[in-house]
Amino acid sequence: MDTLSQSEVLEILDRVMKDITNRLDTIQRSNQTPTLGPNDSCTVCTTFEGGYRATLTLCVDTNFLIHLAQRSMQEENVNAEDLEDFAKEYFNVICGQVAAKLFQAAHISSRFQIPKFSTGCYTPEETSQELVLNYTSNRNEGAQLIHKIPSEEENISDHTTKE
Amino acid sequence: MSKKIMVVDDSRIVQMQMQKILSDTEYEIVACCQNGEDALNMYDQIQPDLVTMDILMPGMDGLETARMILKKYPQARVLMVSSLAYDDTVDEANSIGAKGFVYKPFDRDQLIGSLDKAFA
Repeated sequence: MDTLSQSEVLEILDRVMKDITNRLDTIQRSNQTPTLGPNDSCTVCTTFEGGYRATLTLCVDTNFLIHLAQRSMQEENVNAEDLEDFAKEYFNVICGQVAAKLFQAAHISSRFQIPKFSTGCYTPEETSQELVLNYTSNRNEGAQLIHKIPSEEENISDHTTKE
Repeated sequence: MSKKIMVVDDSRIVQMQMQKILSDTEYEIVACCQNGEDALNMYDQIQPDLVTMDILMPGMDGLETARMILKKYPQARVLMVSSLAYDDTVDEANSIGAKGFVYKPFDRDQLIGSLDKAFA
């Protein structure tokens, strides 16, 4: 059975987040927690299932998301429906790449649920098994990627291993 | 004569991207479906030359939808288009008879190259 350490998971998340986002615009890791207010941010989240059990949440500055959507769609006008659709697809690609990298690194076979979108920043409850990655764009727009492993009570199987 | 393509993907963004990429090619998108159930119904009506199939969709997933289309129409061409790009998924797609696998995010060359290969 293969296992992954927290630092390996963190490295995978960071690499994927930067690889996918930098196709559209530039972001950098940041040591500072971004300010993501209820009126100027969006959240997409999903749950990984199968050999890997975790939730992944992305809170992002709405202006940054609009900018990414404009680049991706090659359209100046992005309405609310477009933005939600883009956010879910962008996060879907990030999660798919994370699943692929987990498999490459440790032969962990996992799937994830269809991402859910909401306006505002909804971060999961803090736990000891939480990884938080902060990012900033060239225009100082922030994003936060939060990886959370279910607590022991919820976690009935060995979530970071595969037989 | 253009080749008729049916796009199955729950994301309108992906459908729009494909429309833009294929607009000046021999491939014509004749239908878009957002889930597997619609794809099965639509396939009967349209009989496209190829189906691009996402995997993660509400309801029936893309692998199951592809399996059902290929069971009913063994001559169908199905090209998987997904971000779930790892060996298990690709192996499963191959085992059910998919003509290839395009990894999201894709660019023009990757999509057209995979379509060309599926028709070769």
